[in-house]
Amino acid sequence: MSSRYLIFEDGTIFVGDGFGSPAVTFGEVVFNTSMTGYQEIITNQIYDNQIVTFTQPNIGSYGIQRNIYESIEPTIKGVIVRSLSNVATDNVRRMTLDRYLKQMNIPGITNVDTRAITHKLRNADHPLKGSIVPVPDDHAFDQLHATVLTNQQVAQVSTPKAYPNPGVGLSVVVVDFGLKNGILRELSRRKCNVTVLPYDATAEDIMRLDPDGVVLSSGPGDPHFVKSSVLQMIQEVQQHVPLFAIGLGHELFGLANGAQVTALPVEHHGMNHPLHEIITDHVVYATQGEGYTIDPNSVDRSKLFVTYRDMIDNSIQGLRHRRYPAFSVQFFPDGAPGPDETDGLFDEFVDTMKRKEERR
Amino acid sequence: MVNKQQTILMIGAGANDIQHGDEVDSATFSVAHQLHVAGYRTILIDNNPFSFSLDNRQVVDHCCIGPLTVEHLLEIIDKYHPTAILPTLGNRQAFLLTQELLDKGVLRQKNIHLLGVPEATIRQINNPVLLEQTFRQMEAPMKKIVTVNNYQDALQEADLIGYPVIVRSVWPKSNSTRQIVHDRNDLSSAVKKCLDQSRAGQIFVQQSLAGYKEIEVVVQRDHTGTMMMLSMVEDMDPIGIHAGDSIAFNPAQTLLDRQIQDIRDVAFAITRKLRIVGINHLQFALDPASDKFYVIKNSPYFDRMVAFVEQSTGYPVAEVCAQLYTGKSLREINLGDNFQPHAALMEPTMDHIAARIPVWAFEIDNFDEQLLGTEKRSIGTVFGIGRSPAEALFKAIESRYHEPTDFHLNTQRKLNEDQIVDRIVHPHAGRMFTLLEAMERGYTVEELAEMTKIDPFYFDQLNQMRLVLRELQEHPGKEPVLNRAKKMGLTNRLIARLWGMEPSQVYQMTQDHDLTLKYKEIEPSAGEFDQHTATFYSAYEDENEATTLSQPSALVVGTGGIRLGLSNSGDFFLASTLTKLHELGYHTIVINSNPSSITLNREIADKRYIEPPVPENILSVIECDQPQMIFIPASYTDLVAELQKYDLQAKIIEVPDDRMLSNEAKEHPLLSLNFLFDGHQAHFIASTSDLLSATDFNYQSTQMRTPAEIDSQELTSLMKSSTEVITSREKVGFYQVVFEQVGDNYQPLVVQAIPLPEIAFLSKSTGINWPAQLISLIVDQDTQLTFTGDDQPAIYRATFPFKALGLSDGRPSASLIIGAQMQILN
Repeated sequence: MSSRYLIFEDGTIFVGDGFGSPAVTFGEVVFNTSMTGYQEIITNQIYDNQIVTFTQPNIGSYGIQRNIYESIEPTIKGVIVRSLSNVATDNVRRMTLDRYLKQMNIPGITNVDTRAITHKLRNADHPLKGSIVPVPDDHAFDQLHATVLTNQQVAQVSTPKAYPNPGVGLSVVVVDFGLKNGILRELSRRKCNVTVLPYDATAEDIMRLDPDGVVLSSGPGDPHFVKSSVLQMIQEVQQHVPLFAIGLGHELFGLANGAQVTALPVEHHGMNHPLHEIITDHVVYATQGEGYTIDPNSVDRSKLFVTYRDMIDNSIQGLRHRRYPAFSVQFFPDGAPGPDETDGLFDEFVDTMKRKEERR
Repeated sequence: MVNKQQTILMIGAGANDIQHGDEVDSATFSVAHQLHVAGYRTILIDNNPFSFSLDNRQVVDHCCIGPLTVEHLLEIIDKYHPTAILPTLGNRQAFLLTQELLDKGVLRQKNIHLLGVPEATIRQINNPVLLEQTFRQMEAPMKKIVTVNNYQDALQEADLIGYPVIVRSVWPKSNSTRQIVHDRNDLSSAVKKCLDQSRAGQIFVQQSLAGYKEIEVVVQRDHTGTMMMLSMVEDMDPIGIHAGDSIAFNPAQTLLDRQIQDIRDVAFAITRKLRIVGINHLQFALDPASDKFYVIKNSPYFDRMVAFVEQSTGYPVAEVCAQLYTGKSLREINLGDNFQPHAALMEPTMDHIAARIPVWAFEIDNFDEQLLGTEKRSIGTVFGIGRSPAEALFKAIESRYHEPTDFHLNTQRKLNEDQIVDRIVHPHAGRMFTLLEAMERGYTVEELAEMTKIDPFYFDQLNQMRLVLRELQEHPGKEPVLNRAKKMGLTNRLIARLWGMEPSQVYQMTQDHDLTLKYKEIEPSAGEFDQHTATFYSAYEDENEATTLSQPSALVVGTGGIRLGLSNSGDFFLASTLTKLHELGYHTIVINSNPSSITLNREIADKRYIEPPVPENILSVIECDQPQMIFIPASYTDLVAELQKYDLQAKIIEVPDDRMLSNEAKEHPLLSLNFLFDGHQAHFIASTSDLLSATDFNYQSTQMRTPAEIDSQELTSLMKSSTEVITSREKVGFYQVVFEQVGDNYQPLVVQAIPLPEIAFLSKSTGINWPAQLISLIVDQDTQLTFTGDDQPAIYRATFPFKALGLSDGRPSASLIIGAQMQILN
């Protein structure tokens, strides 16, 4: 392994060893405190434009597995980890994490003080841009300063064409804002007949398929930069069919119903925060990955009510519409990785669709 | 749940044995402390002379020294009228005792609440057949198991299940007997042995899970039903080797998220079903080939795993549990300013790796022949924390101070090819070192994984360890490899041996190359929040989080993993030391590597370092914290000698944990007079005399009474001569004058430091914490000692690990004790 450097705009340099692709990479640096599921995290498209620091000090210990991808073409910009294991345990390809990242053109840096990096990110008042480079010279810093990260991330990662994921049950349209396979997996478990549509599908495109329900997927980036026609689509669709929105989908659902969304000074990625399920008064755990949050003061209580709260930072984690069978969560109820205590939300969605179907 | 002003009866764990060490004492101390702060009264019943909690009237209102029997419990209940009983601080034994109380109707009659576990759960934990029924009803994944009472049925069932099968006793008489049976030929002897050991005349015949991954989970639940997973720990060695004898990692290293979540769901379902409030430790077997897993054990009480989880995550398990016992819910618990609000509800997440390794009874168990199996052979554990699995493992290995690593490596080199294979297939205490040697000789990971059923990941780690060891040997005295070795957790001692140098030379090299330790705090949010536990581990990295402690300060080096002859009396001594130093205004620091040790308890010291006890670590802490005094176990002779080479601005005080003169069985009883010498005056502590062993018909210094049975005139004369001898000494300390009684004649044998086990015993019999008195003198030699005790005649009986280790020829001696019981004579 050769020396590589993680540099920040303020001039901070961390020295480590390179792995994965040798390319230079730029992105927002975030940290993820999950202790499990590195492959699922790396392949989650919410990390488009981002370099992820694993606080868990060792990843790669079971290599790459064929059946736990969250997307086929990961869009993550880079991986930072304290210690890397070079192991392959799948049966055919003998794929290590290092080899996989090389193939996918994703750079990584290891043997760096990830706890120090986490402290730096935690103490900042806004997300920090960083770069993984072979030489931390003026040129590298100039390039970092000059880099403008695109805000059209959803357009980048969403499928350009509709495709089916057939099942024998209820028909569901999934609008892809940067889809995570976990959502499809949960719908498959419930035998749903799924059609995935591009993010800019109109209400008309959706209703033409006559779905029993619609899922707004999770995805990367700032919801304000997603085409405003998407909000119109949501406003229209929620009046006709059950709607379930996750992650970025939840933020868009909030915006479409008049709420404001604000950027977090420190992004939150992990799976250990207690979440208050207000209707049952239970505490549950789920995977979270968020850079934006619904402003509680902006929620129009005559339209929406809050269903989940993060008990640590008190952020809104779930909303439900008062008039329509539409609900949303900020966290990932499909797990992958993470606790599956909230996967009942998919059952609830299916039940809602069934009830609607029966009343027809 | 209980209200304030109520009294909680805690059942203690009794003498330390091969299954349990100091962890229950440590948990008891935390729980009692929390209950005390919350305004509850507490009663502790125990007979362990080395228990620190049992000596501490500041946190326990009524310390009742006496046998752990239902009769004694009834006596105590009648005397103190507890309103609640807590059975989770005394291992399985406390569950059995509680059930006896339930059966007698005492708890209902006297309206005594049960804390932590409901009655039905006590009965299920005590009866594996009931527990299994419950698990099967709730469709928890279970291995195939049947109960039979004769050989013919056993044979038939074993054929159905398929070999290998495991045979074990139902409700065993003493030690649980488990036998792996590989074919029909071995079955009959196993059946006979286990039937003999069963109080119910029944045995289990069960599917063997040998070769599967062993996974341990600690779950916490409150009375409202909120549950969280505190940790999932993975054993490196597969099932077939007792979990306590395996190397273990927190967090689990080789499990897919899917497997972890499935196991978590089952652990939650069981904990919910059993209505546990507090902690539950569950063990699972995972078949990596099929993703199938099986519940193998459920222990809803404080044990070594809970201690390991608390120390390795920084989550204050015992403190939180105590509050759960008082009826609080997790969301009502406030952990104070050092934690985020609602931190009690945050599942611990780690940004370091903890490796736990077993400590063996070298003195009596032959290292080369010691085969590992389903019965525990190790007597304790130590752990290491690092930023990579290999670093954590090296630190853990180097924490076994009395077992030098290179010794193990050298032993392996002498093995021939057949021996290597034999040792890999038939695991023994040092298999990890054999695996390193096998990799050195060119065995592939696939071959080794197949032979051992150890996950390939661990061979990747072992390979990193092997490479750094080889690099060191090939490049003596070179900086780049030194840098790499230090980052992987190797001690100067090990590097020096591989280089044929002195550790001090290696230390000088690290200084010359600016290889200085940085400290990371062990807190349960992985750096997400600004939380503080004042517990640190070292890493060769960028950021340092440890700041200098306020002055004056004192550093205590723990006695490390449990050792025969010392048991936990070292922990008693040092916990007393730390408490007294704190009382005298010192800020206290402890370095230790035994996750069970009470010295790592947050209420005992101000600051903790989880580090191997080697000079460079001590020097680094001294530099950081500037202590005026350093307490070091005298048995760490190399460490003491090494430290004396440096110009320390601190006084070194040796803690007398050495082996004492070998008091083998004698024809004549020994009599000891024990004193604390303050530099001018010898303060009499107590006299002891040996008891005649009932089984061996000889006198043993492992069984004694106080005061000694001696004519008072004779005593006066011995006191006079002893006092003269001791007052002629230079050093302040504990002294023991030993006499041999021949007829009516007392012949002086030796003057020595009082062994630590006896100091702990006499502190309890006299009602005076003697280590604390000594500390007053060490801090200020002019201290006028004032102590009032309540001298009670008492008996001390040491216990030995021979039976648990299957050693028929073990001979009791003071240097081989693993625990002790004491009794107050009224």
